[in-house]
Amino acid sequence: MSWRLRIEHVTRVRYAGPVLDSFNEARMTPLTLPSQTTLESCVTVGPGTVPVWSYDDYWGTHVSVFELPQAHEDLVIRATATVETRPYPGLPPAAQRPGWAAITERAEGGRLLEMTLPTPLTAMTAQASGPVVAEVAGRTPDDTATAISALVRERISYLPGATGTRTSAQQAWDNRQGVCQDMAQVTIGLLRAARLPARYVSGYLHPRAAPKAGRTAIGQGHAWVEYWAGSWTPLDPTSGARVEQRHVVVARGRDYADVPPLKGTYHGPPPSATDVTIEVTRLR
Amino acid sequence: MPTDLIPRVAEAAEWRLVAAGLRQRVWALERFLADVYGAGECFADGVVPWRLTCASDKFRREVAGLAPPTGVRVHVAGIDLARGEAGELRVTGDNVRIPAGVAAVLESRPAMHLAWPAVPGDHRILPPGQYPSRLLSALRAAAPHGVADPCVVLLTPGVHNAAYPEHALLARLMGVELVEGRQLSCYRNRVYVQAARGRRQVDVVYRRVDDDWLDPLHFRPDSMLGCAGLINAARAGNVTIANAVGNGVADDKRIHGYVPDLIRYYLNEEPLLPNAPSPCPGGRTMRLFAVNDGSDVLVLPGAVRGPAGNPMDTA
Repeated sequence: MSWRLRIEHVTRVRYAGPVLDSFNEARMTPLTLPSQTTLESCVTVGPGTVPVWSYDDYWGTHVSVFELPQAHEDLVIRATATVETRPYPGLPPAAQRPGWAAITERAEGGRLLEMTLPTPLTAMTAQASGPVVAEVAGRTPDDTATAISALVRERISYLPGATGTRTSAQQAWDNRQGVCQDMAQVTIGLLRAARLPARYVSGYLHPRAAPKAGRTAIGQGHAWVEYWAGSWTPLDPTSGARVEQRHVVVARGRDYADVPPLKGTYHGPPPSATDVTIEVTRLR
Repeated sequence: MPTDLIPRVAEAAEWRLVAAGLRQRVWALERFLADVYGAGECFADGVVPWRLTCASDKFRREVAGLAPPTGVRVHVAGIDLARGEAGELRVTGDNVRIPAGVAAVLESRPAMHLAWPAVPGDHRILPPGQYPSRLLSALRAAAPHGVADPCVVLLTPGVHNAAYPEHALLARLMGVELVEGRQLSCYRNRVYVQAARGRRQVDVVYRRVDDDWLDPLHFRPDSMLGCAGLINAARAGNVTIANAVGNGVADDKRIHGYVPDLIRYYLNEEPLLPNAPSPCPGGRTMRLFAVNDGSDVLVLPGAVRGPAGNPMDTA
């Protein structure tokens, strides 16, 4: 059964003093994919009425562009969307999945290659990845991915505030702490070390597995992973749960740096407070 | 950059070959760049390994799908040549980002005429003096559609840049404003210059600032040399950046060896000038400049010497 979800993502930034010449890009609009359909979406920016312009980037992400040239002390970005999400069809029978040799051949020869190369945020040393790859050796590609995801969940404890948006997979691995972004990037680093193409997914998560319609819950910005073994297959290393109707995809890339929900540049003092609330309501 | 005051004179027949060879090269590199930032057919057809491009830090995914108004990305090319063992000219490198050195060509010729009036004598040597006007007309031709009288500016990193004298000379010879990043501002996807004559919308930015420093929103966030919003203004079609952002994928040393294949693939022609391994062993390299106005590629007579065996500075 498909779900219809309403997402309201409000970001409030307060600066320590007046700022100006603020140029920004938000990646907050859910994609339309086989697994989900974005019925309606809107990004508005305040204070006042700030024009928002948009384009689709290299990764297919819908980008909202806006600027606040005049002096201002706060910024409000409200991204809303109504999305229909469909259940995950599950893996095809193992006999229909390609083997290691076929995956490597596809990855070497084509566009998939981009998702096999290390990036600064996902690169892991051989010292870190070697033992993991050895431990999961001998499995099918799908089982390898599941095993790596479980290992990451075992190794890294979920601890908000322990890492930042620039923390690399290697740092999170060494510190054994992190949030979904770190778990996703470590998993990607290890999947790539095990020769599976893997990509970073940024999106939203409904906190409940079986929510009642009409009730609003506090959701969260979430990150998970997709690996390629015949088709792109989702994996949520943070929860270990299946990626299904609760997950709403916004963007996909090599790592966090390709898909930041908000990035910008301005003149002025740093933010004194940043407040993000994400409300998710299952409509039906 | 070292310069020979006395130009090496090429016979008319050789010059015609060189001019045609460089023109062919520039067109092939243009087609390659359009392909890299567009459909990527050369990768699907196996002409160039996708690995070389997708692993290159010069590949700017930020400008994928950004089509320049007239399709031109290489407004100026600096192509390095050296003589092979049999005396034949070979291409040792292509520079399609921000090739430097043209000021030496423009300034050394008049200096030579003053110093040794007898040397040119009866030889009929092609003058390089038309370069600034040809460059200006190429830049004006690259302006967004519908702009009747385009405003062109030359964006320099500033006086501390080694090529600043060249920036100042070209701006003066073309009669365009020489600006630094802090004089530019973006508003609603349009670029404006704050200059002596007031605030004016800019249609073409002839930039001598590297991609990395051009727009802190998309590239280095700590850059003070560029202008925030420039890339999205170009994406919206309101300004042309010359040379285009991301051209570095075409002059990458690892792509160099594939350029003859690119000429065959895109133009269905045999390369007129052979490739030399890069860096060229031994021989002295010289750089020639070519300007593309979208309908024609003009190769400028007069070369500037490049240091043998060293990658050229492209500031």
